[in-house]
Amino acid sequence: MAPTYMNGDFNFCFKLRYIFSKPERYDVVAIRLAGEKVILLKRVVALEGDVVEFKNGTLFVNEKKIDEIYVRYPSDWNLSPRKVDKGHVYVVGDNRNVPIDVHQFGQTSIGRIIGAPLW
Amino acid sequence: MVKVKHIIIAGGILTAGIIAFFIFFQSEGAKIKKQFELIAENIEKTAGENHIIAAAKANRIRKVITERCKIHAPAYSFSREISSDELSTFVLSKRSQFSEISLKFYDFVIDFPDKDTAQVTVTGSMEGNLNNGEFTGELHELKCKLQKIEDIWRLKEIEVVEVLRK
Repeated sequence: MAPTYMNGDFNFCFKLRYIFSKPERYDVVAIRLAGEKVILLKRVVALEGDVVEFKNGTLFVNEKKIDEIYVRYPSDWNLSPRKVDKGHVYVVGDNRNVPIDVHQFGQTSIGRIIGAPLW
Repeated sequence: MVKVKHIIIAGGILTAGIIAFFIFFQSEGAKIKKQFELIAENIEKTAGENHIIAAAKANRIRKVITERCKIHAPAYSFSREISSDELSTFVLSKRSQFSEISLKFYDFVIDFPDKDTAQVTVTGSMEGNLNNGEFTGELHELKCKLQKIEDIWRLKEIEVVEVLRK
């Protein structure tokens, strides 16, 4: 999630964040894996039913170009359009300065989102 | 005075008994965690590791799986059954591409569907430096099926869970 969050930074996970609401577009969320000791921090870029696509590093949601002010390093990512399943959100990290194959991103179940960073 | 002496001796025996219990009667869950520690130890690599150690580690890794182990990683379009010999060769070849590797397992969830079978869900975190100096890191949820053979828990199936699907 660099440069928004750097490796080794200290933060807290606000676990009550999504008790009464669902994650919204551009929220940074904490995603659990097998447990909660090690989590992924990613940014929600699309919600269920949306169609996501990357063209030469630019994100398109429902064919609309998204101006991602939080992305500092440009990329050359290309990803064909895909629809986000029901009960899922599409998340991407802010650090696009890596090849698309290496970066961990994609759609994840809302049930895996355990909260958001406190700051 | 005699009573105090007896209490101290009894306390000592009790402490020794508790320690012996934990040493000799490890729970099955602890044995499984130990097996994952063994995997991590034999995957990990420090800078300047020589070929003999690399070969020994690759050889030891074959003992952590059953004769054949099913590996399913949809994110990498990889799904096949491999033998312990194939695993050993694969590990040797993959490790040679790195100058340093660190592997840690977190958040164990262990279930026992029957006496000699275990289902383990765990987070695996691998970081390393490739030979060209490039840093690489992978974080995955793994669903594993283990089988107890001759009192040793061995991996029979490994699934790399697609937490994020591109």
